Amino acid sequence: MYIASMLIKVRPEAARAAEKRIQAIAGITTYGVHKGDTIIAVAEAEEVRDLEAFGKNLMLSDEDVLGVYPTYLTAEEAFSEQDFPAGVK
Amino acid sequence: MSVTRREFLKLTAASAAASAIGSELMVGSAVMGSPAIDWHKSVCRFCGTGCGVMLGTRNGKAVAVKGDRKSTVNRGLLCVKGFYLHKIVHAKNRLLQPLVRKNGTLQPASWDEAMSLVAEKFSAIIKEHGPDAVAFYGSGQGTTEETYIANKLFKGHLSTNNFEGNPRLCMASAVGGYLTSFGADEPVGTYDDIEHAELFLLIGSNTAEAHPVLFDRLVARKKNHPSTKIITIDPRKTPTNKIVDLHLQVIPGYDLAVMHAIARILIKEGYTDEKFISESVTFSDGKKKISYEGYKRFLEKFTPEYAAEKAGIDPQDIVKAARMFGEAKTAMSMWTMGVNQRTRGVWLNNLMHNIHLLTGKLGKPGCDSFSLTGQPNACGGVREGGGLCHLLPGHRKVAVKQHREEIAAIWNVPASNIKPKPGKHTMAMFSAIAAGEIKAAYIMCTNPAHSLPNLNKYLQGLKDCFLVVADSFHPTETTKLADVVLPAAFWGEKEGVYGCTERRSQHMAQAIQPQGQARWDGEILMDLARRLGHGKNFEHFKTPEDVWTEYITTTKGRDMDLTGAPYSRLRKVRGLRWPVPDEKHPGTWHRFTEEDPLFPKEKAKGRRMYFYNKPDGRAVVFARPDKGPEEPVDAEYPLVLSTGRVLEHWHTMTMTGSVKQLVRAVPQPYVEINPEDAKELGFADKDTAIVETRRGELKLMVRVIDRPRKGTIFIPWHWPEKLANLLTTDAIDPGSKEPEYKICAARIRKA
Repeated sequence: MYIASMLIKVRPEAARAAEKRIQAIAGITTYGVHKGDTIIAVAEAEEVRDLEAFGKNLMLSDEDVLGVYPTYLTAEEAFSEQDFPAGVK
Repeated sequence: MSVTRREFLKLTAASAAASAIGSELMVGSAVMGSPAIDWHKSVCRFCGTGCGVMLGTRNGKAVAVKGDRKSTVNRGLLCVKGFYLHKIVHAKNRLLQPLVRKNGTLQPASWDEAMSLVAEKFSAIIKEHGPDAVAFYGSGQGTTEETYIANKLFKGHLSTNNFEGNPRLCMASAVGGYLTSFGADEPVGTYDDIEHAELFLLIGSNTAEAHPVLFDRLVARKKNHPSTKIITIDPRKTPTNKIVDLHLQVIPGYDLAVMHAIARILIKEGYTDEKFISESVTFSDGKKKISYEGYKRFLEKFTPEYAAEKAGIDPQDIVKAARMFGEAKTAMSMWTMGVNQRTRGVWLNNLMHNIHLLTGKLGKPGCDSFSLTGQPNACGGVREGGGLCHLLPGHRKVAVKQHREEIAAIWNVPASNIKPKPGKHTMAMFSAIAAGEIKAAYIMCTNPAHSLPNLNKYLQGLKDCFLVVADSFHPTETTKLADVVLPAAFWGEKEGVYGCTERRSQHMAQAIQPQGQARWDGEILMDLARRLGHGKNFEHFKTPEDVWTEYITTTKGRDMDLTGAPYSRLRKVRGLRWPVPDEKHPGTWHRFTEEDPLFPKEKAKGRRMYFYNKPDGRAVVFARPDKGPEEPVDAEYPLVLSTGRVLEHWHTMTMTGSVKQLVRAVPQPYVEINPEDAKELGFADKDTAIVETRRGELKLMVRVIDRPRKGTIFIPWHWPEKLANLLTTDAIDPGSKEPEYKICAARIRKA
């Protein structure tokens, strides 16, 4: 499973409403609106192309979204148990 | 309290996002930290923006990627293309061993077998037909070191200038514009100007999708300074329009008249900087010098009404655009393929520079005429490294005796080895391949059987010639035609330097070993050099650093001096913007000004800007005719066809679906039609249509959408199974030799 964080830049006046819409998408977790116009979101997807398509679609279909900017991408399967700190199961 | 691995990775990812904007997440009692990853500094390999990327590895495998927070270009952000960066290193279609065509099919071979065959064929062809019977075709995605080695081998040792790179197809017109207007290639300013500009003029650029990280900087500029204005001149409505204040939706190919009309208004309404003009500008009609008055007379024809009629827009919008540009204290223009891929691309580049020269909005914070680049190292390896048929490293030309002598001395070859006549430019090269004049070609890191215009004309020639393709992936449209396919190390598997749009050279670390039997392109080329009997002059290249060290000696004292940017320094910093003549120099923001270490104060005599590569130190304002496209529409082919590089997923779903559901809406290849045209022609959304030009036809799904203007259709060019370039014209700009991908005449009918 791929896990990617992204900053979703939105129109400031519509930030909260946009976060709600994005929150409703299965596979997406949001972590609040920051700096007035930036939603932090993490997507989980089986394929990288799913993530790309998600980003593009969000940009194209939501008038309030001004940009989708990945910041970190990894895959759960890339790691073994010892790669994680204690307490992570 | 414990967390699951997935939850932990999600929090790690979210924290990285927060940290990119200087924010902190409240994640309760979650165990924070990060999984064990080794991070390596690199540069994104997708477009020419030059975004800093950190590639994460674990046990010799690429496992993660994140934006480089220390990069001044992207400050930790990536664009959606960045999702693919580490994934493609281990992609299923990675080429892991050499392939040689036997009995009509490509079959696995050893490196020795493959390279022996390549050397044998190249030797035999050169012996029988001369050096110009072979050619090299490279890429703005290769590293500078790779292009340098290939250049040294082909031009310096094999003595052929049949040496090109795919930037000919995307930015040669920008080069022509900079050279003719300012006397030197590449922009005056840098990205830093974005944070100082009051107005942005975007032309032929869908910045939001093609250069998203720069688009975000425009968004941020507008957020922090709400009075900032953005004008776009583009035949299509695109997501860039979300932040645009004025859109001039021109008929494709008729924007030269619009630019002249804007210049005319700037002069008539007193927005010009007469001191700057008198000190630093001269005028030309392209053949001879003309006076300022003569230029004004030339412009008289370009009334807003005249230009508006040509371009199919409202004359008041031209007036509005000119006034917005004139009234802004600072202004930055940006453009890309919509300007460059034209038969008058150089002229249109000149006209962009004109309005900055007339208003003095150049060479100071917030002011620049700035061509955006499409590939990560088109500027570095190809433009600066001399990777075109008329160039030599360090912005030199093969036609100049002194330049040949200087480079021959560094390459340790007789100057006579480097031929004074430019070789065949890209379209001439592939025409010569089609005609059987070029009998062997070495293609590195590019896919011309997909990307050339008017493809039907060239494919058979590629099949018939002895074709060597060095690539990291197979199959591609070009490897399918090859006689030998060589597995090349991919991004992350090799060290090297990329030079981006803003004259910034950035070092990329090798993070992992090449997959399978893949080798660094430089190593493959040096193997070929040895087998062709030219190994001696390449023996000292043990590492990419050795190659870079020799390369930067070619730049010493040149306008693109990189002497102060050795690997030892580049490894530590997030790139340096040339000229950077010594290791203490910080790099240069504005060229041709006192900030520029090459600025000749004595000659400048108090002038703010001195264009030192021009004999009189003056930039040129050009009175170029407003020529339209090479293939205008007519009764037989009444629609304008434009193609684009952006892969657009689209759908009709609400955002309540899942990511998976959204992706399932990814379309098949399509043609965009304006709703009015669709109504007139009887098309509904998702119908099937045949799009036809004088060169070919394609069956495509119809997408009815208010994006192209009425009378135009648009096809994204990405799908290998539906090659848009079967339809495009191979007519070229007579100056830059860049094809007019953006405009041709077409018709459409129901399938």
